[in-house]
Amino acid sequence: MYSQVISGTLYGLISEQVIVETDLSPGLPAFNVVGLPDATVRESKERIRAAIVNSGFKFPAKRITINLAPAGNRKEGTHFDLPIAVGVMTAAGAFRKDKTLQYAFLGELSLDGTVNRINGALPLVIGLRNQGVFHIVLPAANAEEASAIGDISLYPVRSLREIAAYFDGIHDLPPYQRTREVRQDVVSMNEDFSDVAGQESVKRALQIAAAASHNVLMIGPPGAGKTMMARRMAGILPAMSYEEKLEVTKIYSVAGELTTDCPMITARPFRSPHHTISGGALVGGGSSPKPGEVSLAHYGVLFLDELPEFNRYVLEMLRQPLEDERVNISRVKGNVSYPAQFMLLASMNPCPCGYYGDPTHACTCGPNQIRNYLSKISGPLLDRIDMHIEIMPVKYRELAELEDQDAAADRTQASRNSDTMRQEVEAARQIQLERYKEEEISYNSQLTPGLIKKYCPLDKETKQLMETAFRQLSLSARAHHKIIKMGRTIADMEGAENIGVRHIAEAIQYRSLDKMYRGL
Amino acid sequence: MSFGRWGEEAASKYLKAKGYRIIDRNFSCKLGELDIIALDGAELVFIEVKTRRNQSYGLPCEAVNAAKIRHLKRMAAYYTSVFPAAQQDVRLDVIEILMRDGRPYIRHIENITG
Repeated sequence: MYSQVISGTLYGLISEQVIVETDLSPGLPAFNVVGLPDATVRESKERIRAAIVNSGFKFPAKRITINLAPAGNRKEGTHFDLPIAVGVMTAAGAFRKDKTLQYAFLGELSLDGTVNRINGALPLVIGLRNQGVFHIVLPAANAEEASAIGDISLYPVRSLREIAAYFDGIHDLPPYQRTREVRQDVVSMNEDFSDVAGQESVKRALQIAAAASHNVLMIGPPGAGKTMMARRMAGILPAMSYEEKLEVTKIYSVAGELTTDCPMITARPFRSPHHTISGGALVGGGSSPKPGEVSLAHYGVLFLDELPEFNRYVLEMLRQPLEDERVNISRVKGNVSYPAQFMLLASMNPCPCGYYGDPTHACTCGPNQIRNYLSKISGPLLDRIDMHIEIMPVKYRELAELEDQDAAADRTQASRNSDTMRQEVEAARQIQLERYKEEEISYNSQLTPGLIKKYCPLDKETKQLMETAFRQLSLSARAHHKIIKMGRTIADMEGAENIGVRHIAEAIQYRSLDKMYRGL
Repeated sequence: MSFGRWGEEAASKYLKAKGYRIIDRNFSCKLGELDIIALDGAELVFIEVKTRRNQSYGLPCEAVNAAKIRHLKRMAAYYTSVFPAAQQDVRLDVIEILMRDGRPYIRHIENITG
């Protein structure tokens, strides 16, 4: 007695079809699973047996062998419970073979026969679709998540009993109708840039960063508002395209971060891990590698508050994702790769006591201390950060003005709010999308030296300014390119076709570190 | 008649009443002895009978531990090799008989290896 059931398996975000074969032989009853199942799948035998019995069926007293083909690849995940159970029921004759072959099955089983939610439903379904399987039976709790893909038929189920009723040959499974439109996540209105008193130049800088995903380092004394402004970045990021939302949702699905109430990620991710985070949690890892914070921040922002407090070895691990926009994790069991294209936002104090450069407090650190403090962040990491902004504490007058003004009313003059800022960011983003639609990049920050030549021509005056800056500030070639890229973004925010002197002049201002620590 | 033999007799009667067809009793081979061999419909069943006067040594079925089960499996394999029944389903059961207040309580545990 033999049966075949279609299912899938995940390697990172890539999914491949798996055929679950079931053989029932005479002999002393046994239940074995072969095909390199990992511990989760091996444990499933007990769940499957209990689920079948508790759904009112007799568990076949035969020698049962399950093979997960192709047999040479590791299989992991709880989603094999349902296809194996269906395989056993079909081989035993309780389900009709011709019916069960028309669908793919995914789902975890509870001891009472309930079909439970699984992780990685979206990438699994995408993989099956790409291999020509268009009818998929899956847990009801995952239906919303998987329905992000339009061209397949999903059949959500809640229990093994429910499936049995359809496969006895009389009824047909009803397909899933997507009821809700994809929600556009409204960013919480509690945090708005208009809450921040003054700091107009910093807000401007952050807005430029948001427009083209430039990496930013904020340097300033305690209490200046670094963390406060960083948190408000999420409110001015441009909206994600459908493809971007899909990609991010896949990552969150594999990481187990989706829930039934929140089956799709619609807002750009904003991740801010604590500085005690481990390397594996930051870039991804574990024996069966799961995405790290850099991948959970894909197409979004990774905020590292108090950068020098992070373990130096852990910070070094950021180099590959910042360079390649991917993370490749190698394990004995296989290699997995997760995307990690994010905007890095970091904050730090200028020195150990925090007050170097502060006009009102005296700095109590010696030059050696300051050098040591700065060296905690490696040169190469710093080099990959486009903008350095100095943040000074706000003057009392500006703070008082903010409190005086009425909440909704007089915000137009002094401060601007997040809504306005985001609209300007969106406009600049559109220009970039249009410009780079034939290229492989999406943002100015991703321009390679070759592309800079193509899209950022400078006139004579601007070139002279660059040369002066190059000499006076002893810029590296990379810094030189970064200034041009920022100039391109600043020009875009104005809607200017060509990069002019004032754009480059402003961009040079955002290389504070080159000026701040000169003479040390 | 010994206490154990009495228990096997009682188990046999119980199975017959349940509709099983007894094929053999106390099948002896050099590996040991199979208490009852019976047919439940089309399935060939090997039954180990355990009889106890009290629970001082635990429940009767607890005597059928991993080692005993391995032993039973080997004897069953031997039996099916000597008497091959083409494409037949095979099963291992345990019947435990416990005396409580002078009265016997019988429990039939089906398929101890599945």
